[in-house]
Amino acid sequence: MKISRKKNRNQILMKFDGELTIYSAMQSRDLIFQDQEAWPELVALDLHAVEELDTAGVQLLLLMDKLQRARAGRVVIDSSNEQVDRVLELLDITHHFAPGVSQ
Amino acid sequence: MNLDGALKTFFAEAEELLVSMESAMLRMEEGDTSADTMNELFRAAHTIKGSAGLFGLDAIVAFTHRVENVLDRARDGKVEMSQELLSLLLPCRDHIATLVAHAMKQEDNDAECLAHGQGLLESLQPWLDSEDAEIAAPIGVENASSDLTLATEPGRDLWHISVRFGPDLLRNGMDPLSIIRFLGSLGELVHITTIEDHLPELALFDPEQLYLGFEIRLRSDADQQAIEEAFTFVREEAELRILPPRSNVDAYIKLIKSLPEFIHRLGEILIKSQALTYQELEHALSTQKQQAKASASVPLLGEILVQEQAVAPAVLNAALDKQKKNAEKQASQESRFIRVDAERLDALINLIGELVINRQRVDLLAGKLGNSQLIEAVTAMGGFTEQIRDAALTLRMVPIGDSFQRFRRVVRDTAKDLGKDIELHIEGAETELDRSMVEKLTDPLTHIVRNAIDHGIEPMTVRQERGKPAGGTISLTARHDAGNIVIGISDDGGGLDLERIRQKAIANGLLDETTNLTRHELYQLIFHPGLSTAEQVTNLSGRGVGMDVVKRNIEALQGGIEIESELGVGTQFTIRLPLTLAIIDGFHVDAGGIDFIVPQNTILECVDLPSTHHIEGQHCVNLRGEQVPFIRLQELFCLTQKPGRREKMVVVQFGEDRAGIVVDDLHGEIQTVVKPMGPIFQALKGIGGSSLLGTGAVALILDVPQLISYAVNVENRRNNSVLADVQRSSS
Repeated sequence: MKISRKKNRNQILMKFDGELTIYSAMQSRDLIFQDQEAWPELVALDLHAVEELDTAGVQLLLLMDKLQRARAGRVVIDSSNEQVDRVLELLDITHHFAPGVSQ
Repeated sequence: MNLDGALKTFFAEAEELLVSMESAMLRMEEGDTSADTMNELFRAAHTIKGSAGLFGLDAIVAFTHRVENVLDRARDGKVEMSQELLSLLLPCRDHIATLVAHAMKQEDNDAECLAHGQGLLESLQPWLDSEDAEIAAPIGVENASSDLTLATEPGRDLWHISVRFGPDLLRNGMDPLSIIRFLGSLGELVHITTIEDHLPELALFDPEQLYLGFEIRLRSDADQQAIEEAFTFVREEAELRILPPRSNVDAYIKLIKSLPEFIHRLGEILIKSQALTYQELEHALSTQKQQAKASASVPLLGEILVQEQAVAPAVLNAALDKQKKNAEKQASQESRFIRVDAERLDALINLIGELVINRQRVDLLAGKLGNSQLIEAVTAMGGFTEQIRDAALTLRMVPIGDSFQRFRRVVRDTAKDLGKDIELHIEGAETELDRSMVEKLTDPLTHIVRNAIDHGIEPMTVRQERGKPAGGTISLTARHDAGNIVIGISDDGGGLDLERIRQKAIANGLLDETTNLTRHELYQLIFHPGLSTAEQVTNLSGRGVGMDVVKRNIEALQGGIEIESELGVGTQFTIRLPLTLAIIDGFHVDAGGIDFIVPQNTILECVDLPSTHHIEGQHCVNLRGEQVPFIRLQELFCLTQKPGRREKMVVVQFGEDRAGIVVDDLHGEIQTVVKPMGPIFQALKGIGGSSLLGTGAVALILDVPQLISYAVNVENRRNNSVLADVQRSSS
């Protein structure tokens, strides 16, 4: 798993590359949350290059969402692929990451 | 990650289920029409399908699903379980076994296999009606019938599955997603709510722990058991609650109350997924509050709701009752058996082996020190070590019956092919034997049984001419006998023709015309490779082909095989094997400075060689009137004899034969952990393995059956040559 970041004052775009599964969960957690303190209000995710997403990966995404909401921020999915979409839809959690919706 | 573990369990379970499918079908073929047997068959197919689905083994699911549909119809009496159908279903079972085997080896199913499966399914078509065929085809696609009920009562005809998995599920290699996907294959996943409330703060978050729960709404015709089976491999650590379709409000209220999340949160979820209306929830909750105020003891919420709403309680109760019974059944089965990986047992046995060796070492040291208290303590410990050893060995024991049952099919198929009517009679199925031995026995037994069917039992017409019943009988028996297991395979066929065997052996150059052999020796000839590989041996009752391999397999297990036969009456094979090969009681001796161990169960007695009556010019002693051949280990293994020792002789027996083994010294009983010989030494005759002594020295374990047959043969040859000399000099 690799994560590259593009950041400006209002938002950060995190591009995920590789599998987001239990096998890489520890590493992914460290990579994702290393700069969590400094996240701006909007965290955008590019999941296009995520090869595989399992429940462990879903948890990481949901945790990002939870932490952002706790400080009135948001996590949105900027782009993804069919496989990722299918998992998020199956678990009915797409609304967590939908752009323009803030609950 | 422990997914492999779960998968292994699946394969082991599938294997057992396939055996039970087969045995159910064979019983049905013999006229067993009981509902129990039908159910056993159906349940086996059903469980294989369900479990295979969990692991994404789609080929198995797709095929088994069809078979299951046919079985379901038969169970409901919609189709008759005819002989014709049974003879179609048996190959279907075999095909499932093939698919499982492929999955186990992670091989793809080749085109031939797929075509075979397709052919079988097509032949099943007449037993499927159109409706079934539809269900069967695309798995996971909802069928029309459930749409109708949906129209009348939205959200009420759905299963509600509430599951909170154990925290270690992910770590154990299971993924809730695959379970949810499998549920999708049982019908349509209408709605899933992912409960993320338990996600902790970042600092407390363990990325390999599972925090999510799921509320699932499923539309499916499957029964509760099928749905529960989706959770088979996670059940122990999961909190699972399933509400059947059309459950009434109180069931949902109960569910809400039993869940760890806040009531209102769950209420919302249920309303959102249309399980409840807002009014129903409000009403139920407020009624309960009032009741709680009004009376000191809070009445069950469920009771109130059932009274108030008059929802068919009987239906609900029935459903719940069924659920309870299933759960109880499961629980009672689980408490009686634990499935343990054979490797773990082997590891335990190995450790106990080390314990046994170390105990001997302590024993030895205690003896040297001469401290009586220490010796006493060590002796007590020795007793327990023995008990632990015995208990551990019994863990690996399995009844031989399961292996015998397999032959019902072999007999049925082979007899059918040959147009013979043969009945298999099984006795002593409960006799236990080391699991690893059972596996290695299958091939030799199959071979003997096949031969018995093919060449032993005569064709019906011949049998009738001989005044025998038209149907032949083959018996498989097993019993314990002095630390051995004795397996008998007998038939009431034509028997072995001794004269023919003799002629054949002479023709093949194994014997010359003048050689006189006993009945017993003539029978043993059929195990000779030279005779076995001869072209057409059917005339010899055909016991030839591959019998040398049978004998070799049995000998590899430290066993022996004997034959008794009477022409025209039948043949009996007797296989004698030690119960286990792991740890044995041995008798420690030495010869030429090398330590040897004789397996205790083969020993008859020990005698002082010089004091016995030695038969002049022969390696033979007269033991209380019986002539016993002997061998000297020093001579056999070319060792230098210790000078000035009085030789001792250990008299051993295997089956009918006995012989003496001459050694320098007797050291006494010893527990022996058998270490198999390395591949280089496998061809070595007379040595069955090695073991460590308490002193750390290596001792060689004697292969008594081989030594006896060697001694007997050498003696016979000598006798024959003496006989020849006598004949020559007299002529």
